[in-house]
Amino acid sequence: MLKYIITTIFAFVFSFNAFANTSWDDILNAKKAPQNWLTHHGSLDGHRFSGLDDINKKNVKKLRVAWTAMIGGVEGGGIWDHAGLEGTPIVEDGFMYVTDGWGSVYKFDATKNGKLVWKMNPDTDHDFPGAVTCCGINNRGVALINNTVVSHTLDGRLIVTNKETGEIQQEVQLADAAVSEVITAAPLIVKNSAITGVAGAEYGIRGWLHSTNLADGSKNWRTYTIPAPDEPGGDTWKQGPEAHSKDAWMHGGGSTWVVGSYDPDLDVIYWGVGNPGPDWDNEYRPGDNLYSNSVLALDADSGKIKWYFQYTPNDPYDFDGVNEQTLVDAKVFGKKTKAVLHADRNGFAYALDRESGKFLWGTPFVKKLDWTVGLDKYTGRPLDYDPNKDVQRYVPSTSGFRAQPEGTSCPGNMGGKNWPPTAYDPDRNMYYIPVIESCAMHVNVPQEKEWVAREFWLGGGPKMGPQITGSVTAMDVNSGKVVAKYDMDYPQLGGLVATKGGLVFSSHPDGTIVALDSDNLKELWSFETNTGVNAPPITFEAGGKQYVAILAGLGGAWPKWFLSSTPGLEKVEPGQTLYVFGL
Amino acid sequence: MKIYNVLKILLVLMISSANSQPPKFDYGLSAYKKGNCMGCHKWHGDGGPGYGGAALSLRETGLDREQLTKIIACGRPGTNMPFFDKKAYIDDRCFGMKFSDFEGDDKNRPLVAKSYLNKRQIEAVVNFIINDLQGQKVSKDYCLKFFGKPTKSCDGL
Repeated sequence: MLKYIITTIFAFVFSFNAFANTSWDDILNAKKAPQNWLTHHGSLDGHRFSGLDDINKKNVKKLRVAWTAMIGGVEGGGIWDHAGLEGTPIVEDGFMYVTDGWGSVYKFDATKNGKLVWKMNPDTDHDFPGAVTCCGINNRGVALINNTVVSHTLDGRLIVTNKETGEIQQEVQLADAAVSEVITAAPLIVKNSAITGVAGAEYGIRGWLHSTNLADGSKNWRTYTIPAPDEPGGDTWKQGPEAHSKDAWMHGGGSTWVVGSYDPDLDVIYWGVGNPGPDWDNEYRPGDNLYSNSVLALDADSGKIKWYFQYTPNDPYDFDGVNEQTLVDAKVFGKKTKAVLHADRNGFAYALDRESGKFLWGTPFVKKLDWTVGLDKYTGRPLDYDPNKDVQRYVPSTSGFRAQPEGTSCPGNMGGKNWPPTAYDPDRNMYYIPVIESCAMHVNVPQEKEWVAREFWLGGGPKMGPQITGSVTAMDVNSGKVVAKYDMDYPQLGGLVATKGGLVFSSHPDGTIVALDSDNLKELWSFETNTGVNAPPITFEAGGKQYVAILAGLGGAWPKWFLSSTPGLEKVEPGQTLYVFGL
Repeated sequence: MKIYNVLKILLVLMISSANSQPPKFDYGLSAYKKGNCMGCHKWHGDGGPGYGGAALSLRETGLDREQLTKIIACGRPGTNMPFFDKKAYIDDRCFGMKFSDFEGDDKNRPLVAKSYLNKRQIEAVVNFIINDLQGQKVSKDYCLKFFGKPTKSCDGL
């Protein structure tokens, strides 16, 4: 009898914990529970690698739709006629949490073929932020901690929702759409804090990262990515020809709209910082324009910048270096190294020593790169960078500037890669990159007008060039060399996941989902959703069975501005569906 | 006195009722949105730099009805202004040119719009530009008409 009571109590406590609490230890050890997909990138190191291998090279051909669910929130707002799906599903103990573009959170029971448990609608203001979000009505997902689901809304709020009931417990206003600050990134949980990044460089915000104490919603710290004149790096924002450019730093951009990574041993957050503004007029803002187009290593408790590495100083291309940072303990040039990997919009993939920020290697991952002749092998700076000049020209024919308003670069302004995340396979020491193989023209329009709230702050714009294609590219982390490419008719706009089963799951923006062989990127399986796919796949286990999940719904900036470079994609209609596949 | 008060209340109710009428449906505005014109010319029509390139101000433009119609139908090769006529550059209706004339010329090739507009829709967009944008400043009424309901975007106008 005693044994029965103890067993019952143990089972109750265990089940309560399993359903109610996501501890910080659970998050730290996410890789040890591959049945879950517990954080945005699967683990805090940003690998997007799953230890599950029930679905593998031998049987992936048998993969079929297990269940689907319709997601709401397709309606438009502001200047957008529809929203999109760019979210990464989070899975814990058979329950899945996904977001739609307007920040509603859906909890599905994956053990019951996707039965909806609850939906939390944060009543996001559609028109006010929708009129100034640069690149679509998007929300990239939630984070879990304790008994709560933490999420963002486009209108600038951090929302804390009860995981069991779907009731909002707390909300904190962090971003201000009156000055074009909006939030599209998922939050990053570090200990009992949520780290929030902001979007809006195209409207001249001053970017920041904000740490919220989840116990009471108070601010732990806010670190601006563009320093004030009296701060370190402040002297990299000099006055240009216009008198009002003396305050260029106040509208210097440096958004943080893709979630970062965290190293618990070093207690350091790694977060990418976006482009400077105005994007296409680097003569307006002479200097390197720190910390735009950089990775920041920040002390997790204070937000203090420990080191930085800048990919494209004084950027004239909109090479927004904001995307994910992947932390690997791997062989680099034969030596075990704590490295941070990053595939930048400028077309180079980088490996840095993540304790010091020292450059290790940088290699083009795109087929065509012509804006610089290469990177300095010691510093990682573009070889055309001139330390004696405040305004960089790089290869002059590739950018627009005041004496030559047009130039064409490869990659183009959408980059060699955009926000869709990479995946890293530690078994193979292989880095998989979703690639936009592109060139585009840059048109400079001098920023003679002063900054006006909620008006574009661009100093020009792009113009479409030749047809844009894409690929999935595999790089060997040890050597920094490209070892395989999977060519695509269209750019890769969704991101990747790699698995222990020797597979890389990927997508095409016209709706095809594919499984590739991790060793050579040969296509092993495909499925047609016949809608746009702009979201990353994940894999998880429910009821002892492995599944692959992905959101399908046309979104982002591509349908609004770049269709003329991808003929055929204009036929893709918006849709909002969650697909889950199983054997 | 009582009758006067009742009449006054009725008058106030009539005025407030008239003011709270939702903006009248405008086929031209609907086509403007369908064509994603606001993607470059912005919701206010005043254009300026953007991801779509440096777009013309439709409030300051001196183009006449015929010129506006032609440019919407055919676009402006060499710029980011796309063509909206489904048959543009298939026959010679646009500047006497066809797609084949632009082969190998990525800089000047005509760009296809996100959605085609038919003749009636193009005419409606032109009417909308002439009646609601050209030569006019952005007003609160226009803002409310564009967004179709009260929004903070119209505050301060």
